[in-house]
Amino acid sequence: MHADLGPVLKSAYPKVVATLTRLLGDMDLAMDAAQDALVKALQTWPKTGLPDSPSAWLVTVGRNRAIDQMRRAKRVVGLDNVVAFPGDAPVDAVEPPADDISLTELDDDMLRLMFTCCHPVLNPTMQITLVMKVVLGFSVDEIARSLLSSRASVEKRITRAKTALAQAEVEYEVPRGEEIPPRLQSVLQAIYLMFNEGYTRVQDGQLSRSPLIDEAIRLARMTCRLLRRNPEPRALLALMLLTAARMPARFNEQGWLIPLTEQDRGLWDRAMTREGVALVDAIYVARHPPSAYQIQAAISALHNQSDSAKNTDWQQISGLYAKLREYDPSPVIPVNEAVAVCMTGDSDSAQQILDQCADDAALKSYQPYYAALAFVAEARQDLVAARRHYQQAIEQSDSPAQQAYLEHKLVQLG
Amino acid sequence: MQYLLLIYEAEEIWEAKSDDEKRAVLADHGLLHERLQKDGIEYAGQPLMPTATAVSLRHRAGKLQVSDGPFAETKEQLAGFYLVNVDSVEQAMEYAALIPHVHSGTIEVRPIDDHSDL
Repeated sequence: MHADLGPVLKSAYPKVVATLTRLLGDMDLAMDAAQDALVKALQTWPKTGLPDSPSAWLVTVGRNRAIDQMRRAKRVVGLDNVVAFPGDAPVDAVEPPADDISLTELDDDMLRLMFTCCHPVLNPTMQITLVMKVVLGFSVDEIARSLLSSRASVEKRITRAKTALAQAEVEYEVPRGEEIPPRLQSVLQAIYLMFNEGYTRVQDGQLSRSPLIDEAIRLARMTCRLLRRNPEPRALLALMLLTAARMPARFNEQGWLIPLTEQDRGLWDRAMTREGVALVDAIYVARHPPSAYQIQAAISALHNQSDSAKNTDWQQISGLYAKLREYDPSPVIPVNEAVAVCMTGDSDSAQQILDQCADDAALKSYQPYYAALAFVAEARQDLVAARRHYQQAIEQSDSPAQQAYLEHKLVQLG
Repeated sequence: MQYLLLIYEAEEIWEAKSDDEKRAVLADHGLLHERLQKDGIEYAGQPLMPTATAVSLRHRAGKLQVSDGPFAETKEQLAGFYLVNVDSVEQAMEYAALIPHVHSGTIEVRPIDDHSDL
């Protein structure tokens, strides 16, 4: 039973913290209360089985614990912030009533908390850090790792962000009208980060399917409903659906990480592909100004709709990557563009694109850059260079599944 | 007489279902298909993709306008339909009540107007 609880608790945690923040009016208090509730769940559920709604159970227990603690500490001020709740439920209620906290209420709270953490008084890095900590429940170490920064600076950022929110007396609510656009990009970025974190964990072989991926897709759907006229949440939803659709084919039977061009496309999830492609089409025909998410989703849609790497419209994909460069200065994009250009048969131009970003320091430890160099060198029949670059790619990879595939390529070169 | 049985349901309800729960609903649709075939009823039916994938067209002031949507501020969205050729509204309602979403959404029973009098 214990082994099963981890994913349930992990996926319930964000919603629980979000609702407790609204009920208790204090983010720190909410996180403590959520922790208490998780401990209680670990003690109780193995005996009673899972409640109908684990999130609602955790909210009720967390709320009761927090109120009890506030009473004991005689924190009368804190009690003023507590919104009305029905009766004085016993603190140790084993099966609290789940019906007073509805599914949509929990969803709304989570979006509200996301938008609060993405308030414009915070800079984008602080916003993402706070979302990861408060909404998604990541540890400081996990945040430091995925944002490529140190533990100490993450801790400092969290403290400063909370102080800034308190000083600005930011209201805990979903913003309206003109307040939405400046926060939306951060909210979407946080959702995408959550998706990528789930994607990477699967890559590390820790999980077959991460709840973070499902949760990110769910949050994107909620954001789509909140902002129906804005194409950006839909573009991100499409991008994530189309990426997730390919997940079942990412590993072969030996556990090697297989690149898109060599995947068994019969394993791709057709329902996710259908919906992702329909979203891309709908955004396209409504003629919204393009954006980075839209272009990335369009690239994904071209891949997912093609029955083989050979029949893929690489010409159009190359053009879309070139367009994407206007919206995103990241050196990762020309690396992808080079592979697409190489697939059109023009390996000379592909080599030129890679040569142009050879001095970028950010690519020096970027595994896909060396894999792309090796791929293009192989297409140009420069086997010596191909071998050298595959070797470099292996050195830069920290994933055994990826290394296994690259070693195989190296052996194939002879 | 033809009736359109329109299935309205909050999209969150379908999204929140696990794959097994979704399969159970599809199995119930399968039972309805079997029943309609057994009763010798002419029918058609399809599910629809979420409203986020929809676009709306309007021709106004000499210009065709394309926008995202639909945007009705309602909790429930059109999720699918059946078209049945039956003898009476009671019979249409009998089949409507067998659509599994009657438990979680709303089924609208709407007669088809063939404009035979025009």
